[in-house]
Order: sequence, then C-alpha cells, then structure tokens
Amino acid sequence: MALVRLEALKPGDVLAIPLEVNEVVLFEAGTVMAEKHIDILGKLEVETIEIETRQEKHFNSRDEAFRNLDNRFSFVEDDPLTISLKYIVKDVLASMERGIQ
Amino acid sequence: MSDITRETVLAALAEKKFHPSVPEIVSAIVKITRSPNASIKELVTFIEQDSELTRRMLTIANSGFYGIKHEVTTVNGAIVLMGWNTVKMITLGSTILKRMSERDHHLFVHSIRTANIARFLADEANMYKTEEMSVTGLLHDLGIMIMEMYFNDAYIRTKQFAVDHGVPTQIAEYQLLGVDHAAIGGWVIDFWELPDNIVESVARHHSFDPDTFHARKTAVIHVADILALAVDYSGPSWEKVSKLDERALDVLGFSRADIKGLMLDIMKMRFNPIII
Repeated sequence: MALVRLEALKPGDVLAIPLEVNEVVLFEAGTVMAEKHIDILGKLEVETIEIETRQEKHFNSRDEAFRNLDNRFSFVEDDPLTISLKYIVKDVLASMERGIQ
Repeated sequence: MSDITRETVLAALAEKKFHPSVPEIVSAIVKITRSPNASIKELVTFIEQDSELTRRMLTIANSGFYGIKHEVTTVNGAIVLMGWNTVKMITLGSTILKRMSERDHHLFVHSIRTANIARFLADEANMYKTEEMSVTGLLHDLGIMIMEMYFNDAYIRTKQFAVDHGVPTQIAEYQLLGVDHAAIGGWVIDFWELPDNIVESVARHHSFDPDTFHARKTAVIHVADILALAVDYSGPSWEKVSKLDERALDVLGFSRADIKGLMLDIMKMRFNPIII
C-alpha cells in the first residue's frame, strides 16, 4: 500500500482502501482507477489516495505477510504443483524471521 | 468480441509511436542488418549518432548481464563481441524498458525480475544464448503496455474484471476480449522483426505447448514469469499467480523435486535493473 498524491495517480492504479469524501464512500477498495475517476477526484479536491503497489511492503507480522501470499495464490489453491511454490516462499520467510530474531 | 486484433494493434502503433525512438531505431537496424551489402561500420555509425543509445549500449555490454568478460569501450567492440542480433535486442529492449519504467513501475519491476529469473533458468537448463532469454523476459509483458497505451478502456475493464473475480489478468483479457496480452505482445514483436523464438516465447508464455518449435525457450519464459510472481510476496493482493504448467518443467529437464532448490536460489537473487 502507498499513499500517493493525486497528481501521481495513474489510470490502472488500484485503490487499497475505500475512498471516502465527507464520510461517503465514493469508490470501494479494489476499484481500478480510470481517467474518469481521476477527473472526479480532482474536482472534489482530493489530495492523497492509498493505492496497491509493488513497493516493498513492511508487514507488521508474519501472519500479515502470509495472508498477502495466500491472496496472491488464491487462484491456484487446487493446483498442488503451483501451490507448493507458496509453501516454499513461506518457509523461506519463516526462516528469515528466525534468523533475524 | 473485441476491437483488439493484430490489425488494430499495428494500426495504433503506426498512428501513435510507442516511443519516439523505437520505430526509427528498429527500422534502421532491421534495414542495415538485412542488407546483403551491409557492413558493421554502417550499424556503428547509426548507433553512434544517438549518444543516449550509445551510452546505454556500452553500460549494458559492461554490466555482466550478457556475460561479456572484457571491457567494451566502443559500439564497434560491442557489435563484434555480442553480434548483430544481440545489439538489436539490447537496443530495442533497453528503449522499451526505459519507456516502461516511466509509465508503469509495477510492470517494470516484474519484467526485470522475470528477465533475471529467465537467464538463471536457462543457465540451469544448460541452454545456449542465455542472454537472449533475458531480453525475452524483459519483453514478455509488452502486450500489457500496448493495452495501457492504445486500448486504455479495455485495459481498465479487464483489470477491474481480474480484481473483482480474483483471476490472473490474461484470463480476464481472454474472457472479455478474446485475446490476451501475450498474443498482443507477440504481434508487436513479430512486427518489429525480432527472432521467431522471441515472438513465440512472448506470445505463448500463458499458453505453453510442448509441441511448438521453440518450446524450450517458451518454457523458460512461462516458468520465469510464474516464479517471478511467486517470490514477490509483497506484491499487490489483486495480482494472482497463474498455474505452472508441469510440461514446461519437463521440457527444461527439471523435476518437481528441483523446484525448491531453484526457488531458494531465486529468492537470494538481487534483481539487476542495469538494463536501462
């Protein structure tokens, strides 16, 4: 997740949390921003937006990192070969955490 | 079903250039390298006219990315050591990557990661010309950029479908448009007259078929793309890892048991952004 200024928002960016203006949800989390959305936000003078990015996230806990991995692998839950990749990544993350402690 | 066809993509490219220098660079290099009377001197002269391109080429040649052990200080030296095809791929690859880094950082990071993994897998599979696999990795999602730039409504619509339904983007594209970004990228790379194996590897990286002519190279890109997504544990949650086709592992001579070792090595990699 990253907080970006409206000027930096691009078509294709995905909202990470619902966008509220005056306590009204304008766009839900997961909305893919198009030019029309960006125009509306400009007219409403919204300054910053939380979007999903590939920048290194700093997870607060291992569980949070694992949940993100579970989401990313959700389409291949039924495929033993591909899902095995997820468990390898989890093992590596867990061993890295043990190494740090 | 969709207005995205080979014809509309090529027409869009002709109408609005992908990058100011891509068409000129590609067409000039294709023309020179195809001419029966062409000389290295002509190609050197052409590249040296563009100081930015010359700088990028020498930086890349000396980066270790292409496995060149001697220091390269001239364009002439780069062509002699790397060959015309590699020079053409570097020229095109670096120009496209520069554009990608400016426009879609998310895609840029994934492409660099896929390129590095592709090179690694090709080495592990004892393949020849592994540097070519790096370039193919860099270009494998070119079709996404083409959609973003020329068919933005379709791009937004398919991405929203992927987010809402929890499916990989190529499935959303196929469902809504009848074509995916892999095929679109393949059309463009074919139009730019890059080698057939690059066209096939890009066009089929989501539809691997062990019986195609360039199945081994396509297998590298298919596997590299999925492993790049798999190791990206902090990537966006809407982006879904696709199914790994076991036949691609077979073609490369890897077993299921090899996967863990490969993944551990990949997770230790520092992904090299030197290409631009």
